[in-house]
Amino acid sequence: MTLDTFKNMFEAQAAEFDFDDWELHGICTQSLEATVRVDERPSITRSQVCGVALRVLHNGKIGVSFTERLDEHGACFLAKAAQDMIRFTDTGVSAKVFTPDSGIRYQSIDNYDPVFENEDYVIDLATTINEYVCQLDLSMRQFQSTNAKVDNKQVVVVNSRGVNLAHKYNYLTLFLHPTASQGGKMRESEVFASVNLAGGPNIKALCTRAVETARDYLTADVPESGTYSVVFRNSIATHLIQGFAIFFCGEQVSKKISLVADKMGEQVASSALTVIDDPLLPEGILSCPFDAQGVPTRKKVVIENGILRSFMHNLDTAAAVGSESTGNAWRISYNHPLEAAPCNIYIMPGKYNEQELFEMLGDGIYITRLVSTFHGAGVNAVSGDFSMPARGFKIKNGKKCDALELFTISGNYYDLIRNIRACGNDLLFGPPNMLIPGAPAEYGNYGSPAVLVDGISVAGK
Amino acid sequence: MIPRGLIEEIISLGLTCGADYAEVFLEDNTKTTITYDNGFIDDALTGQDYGAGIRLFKDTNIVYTFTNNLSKDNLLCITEKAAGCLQAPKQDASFSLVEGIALNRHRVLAVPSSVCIGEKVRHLERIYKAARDYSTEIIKASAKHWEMDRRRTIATSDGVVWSDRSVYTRVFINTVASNGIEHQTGFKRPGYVMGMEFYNNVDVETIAQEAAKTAVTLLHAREAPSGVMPVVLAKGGGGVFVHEAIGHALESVAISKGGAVYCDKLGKKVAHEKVTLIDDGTLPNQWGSINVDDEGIAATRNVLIDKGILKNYIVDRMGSRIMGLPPTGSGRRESYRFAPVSRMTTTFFAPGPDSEEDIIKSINYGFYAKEFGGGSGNWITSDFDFTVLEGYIIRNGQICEPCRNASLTGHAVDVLFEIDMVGNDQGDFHQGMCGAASGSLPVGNHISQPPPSESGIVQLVVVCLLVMALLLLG
Repeated sequence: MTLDTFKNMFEAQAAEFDFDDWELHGICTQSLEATVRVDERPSITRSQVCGVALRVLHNGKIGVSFTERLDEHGACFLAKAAQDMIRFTDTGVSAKVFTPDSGIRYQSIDNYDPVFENEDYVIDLATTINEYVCQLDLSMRQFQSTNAKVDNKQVVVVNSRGVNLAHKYNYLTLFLHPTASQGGKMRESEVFASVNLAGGPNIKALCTRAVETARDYLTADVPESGTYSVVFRNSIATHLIQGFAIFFCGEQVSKKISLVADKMGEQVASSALTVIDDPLLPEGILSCPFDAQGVPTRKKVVIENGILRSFMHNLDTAAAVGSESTGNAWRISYNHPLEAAPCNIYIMPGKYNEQELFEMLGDGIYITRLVSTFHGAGVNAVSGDFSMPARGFKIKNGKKCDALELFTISGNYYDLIRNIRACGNDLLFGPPNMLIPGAPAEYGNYGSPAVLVDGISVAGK
Repeated sequence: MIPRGLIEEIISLGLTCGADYAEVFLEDNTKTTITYDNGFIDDALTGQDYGAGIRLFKDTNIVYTFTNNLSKDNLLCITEKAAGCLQAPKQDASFSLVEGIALNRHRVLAVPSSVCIGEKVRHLERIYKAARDYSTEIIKASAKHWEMDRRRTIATSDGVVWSDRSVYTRVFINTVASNGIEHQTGFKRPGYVMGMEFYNNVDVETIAQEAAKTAVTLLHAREAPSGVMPVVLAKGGGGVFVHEAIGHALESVAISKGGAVYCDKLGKKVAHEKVTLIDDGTLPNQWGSINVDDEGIAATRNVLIDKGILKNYIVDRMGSRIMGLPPTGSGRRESYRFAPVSRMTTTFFAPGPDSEEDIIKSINYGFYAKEFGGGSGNWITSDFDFTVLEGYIIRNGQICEPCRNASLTGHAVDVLFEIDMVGNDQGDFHQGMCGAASGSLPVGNHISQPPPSESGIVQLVVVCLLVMALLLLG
């Protein structure tokens, strides 16, 4: 059964329940994942899954449910499960579904590339990249594998107030971890690239950089402990924005967990920092003209030259603080809760290339690898404290020198955003947690150029 | 979910198309979460996962396909398409299944879905109140009830179809303490393969107070020092060390590719002789336990390291095929949306000869890691790291002032030989979630010694463990 047919069946079912309003969010995903290794046939995973989430309202209270059974049984389960929850939930505000006015307009976006439906294209791309890395360094052949995945998505949002929306989009992601070895010692780096109809990064250039980095790690030393100025490589800085963007999300703001909840219009970060959330960004892999509640999406400046300009709200979190939705209602999938979250969020690029950032830095550290960057791992989403093992390079007199390893950077994200001195011109979108199996379920696509940050605590030897 | 005859038809089709192993995994899974946050239920979600995964092997080549369109036409179509990727010659295959029954070690007295929501809310209210009332510095507390009723059918070309039903109940307790300038957090996440009797068997109010105590303690804690020093890992949550530093590196998904640090080390000394490491999926009602894994292999108690000698790996079906070792009931997946790979269940150090008191007394200056956050391990480099949510300085054999913001890191291959003392108090297991290639899974860990603490990633039983010269990064 298709989402369209199910939605009609559900409308008939809903009439039998005492709902004031309801809202259906359906997602169908067809995926192909190919993992390519040297001298082996690709390992393939194909999938096709569809499901719907339901939100129902009665006297301002909410019931939420989901199902993957797109049949009569599923429609009945969905309505009954949501109804059972209604009398117990109380968010303290009168929940609503979106009511579009007659002049409402949704921006048209074309971010579906038919070429990604071609399985050979996906496998060939992964094979080409894998071979490219092996050609760069023959010693990497033994461990080299490249994972390419295409997600083709169809999203629908329908509600009892006349919203009836559908959008189709797709994107391709590539993951690989070039591993250098010498005398039994092994060190790896990583490459992530996301690509859609509007394009993507230069994947071969990213691979070349990663291969060189992995080889350099083989001779890494441990830095002296101390407080350093640091340049974060663009791919690594994407973890930083993934760490602090939560401070500006509706739930953290409406529940006053965020320490900037009452700082609208105030300086909360360095004047070098501007943060944009743009659900209409052509190259953004999550771009969509409407959010999971059917609200039109729009580009917004979250931080402008360090000044807090906007939070990211859905209808519920906006109502809790007496504000308007910013079109930031998202679900990772139908079986996840509705969030107020970023879509395609990024640090606005500055004017400096990486070498110019090194020169501004003078003496310090260039961070090229971070682990445990997740909330709940090395990052505390409430306090903002972080402590993440790192690898990188010493920078001396503005020049990249010896590799460094076995050290941890620590600090607090509320301080880090105040200590950004400059941003590079090399915007890149990093691996979003939502695409990493087992990572915390957090929506959003996060981008950043390289950034120069002062006052980072480094624990080494 | 689908008739036995259709399962047989799918497996036959896979074999006929050239596969030398075929597997059908069916899942009908109902989940409910209810969150009680600062005085009211602000989030509740009930749902149903319902789908199938079909996996085919030809030699060491794997193809996996999954769907929640369970029509006969679709299932046969995706099987044939998947088999095409194997590029194997067609063969004759006739096939039929017999039914197997796995031993159920996990008694459930009250299936959560049969209990009214009001009762669940009442439990959350008392947990919330216990946390909130702990201190005036606690500005926020939340308690989330989580239940899962997972029904699986696993049929393989070995000729057996297994059915299993596992019921999980867990509560997430989060607290925030504030002094008006900064926030600190505490959390606890007890959970078991158990029904609603969980709330009677587990002292959830005391656990809620411990979560609040951690947040308040951290508010008054200093930043952790840095440097190489002796570290005592508390029993319970300290098991995150076992999981991240060693466990992942012993999974066949790492070993079978070659190059991992513990490749070709069976029978060799890999740790101090006080170290005996076990992965046990059979422990009744424990969070990481299973009856049968997601590849149709019964759970086992698997001694990985015995008195410092490496005895076995954590082996899934493909690992078994490549490495020539029997599978250990470790092929696990979050749901039908993932192909199974070798994963831990409940992983722990067996108790050693030392008392906690003696362990602490033996240290002039060191670090006592009590509460743990998440971490990671790298099976190629043997690097590991994990965060310490709440730690204390040890000075002159005494536990002294609290510290926050610490990470512990090192190379596991070296650190395992640096383990100097192992506690003799088995203590409680820790419950966590492990994220890896086949999704997010309930796992348990343990080191034995002080009061049980909580890891964000895994359930671990560790005996209180003294690791000499672990790098502390504050």
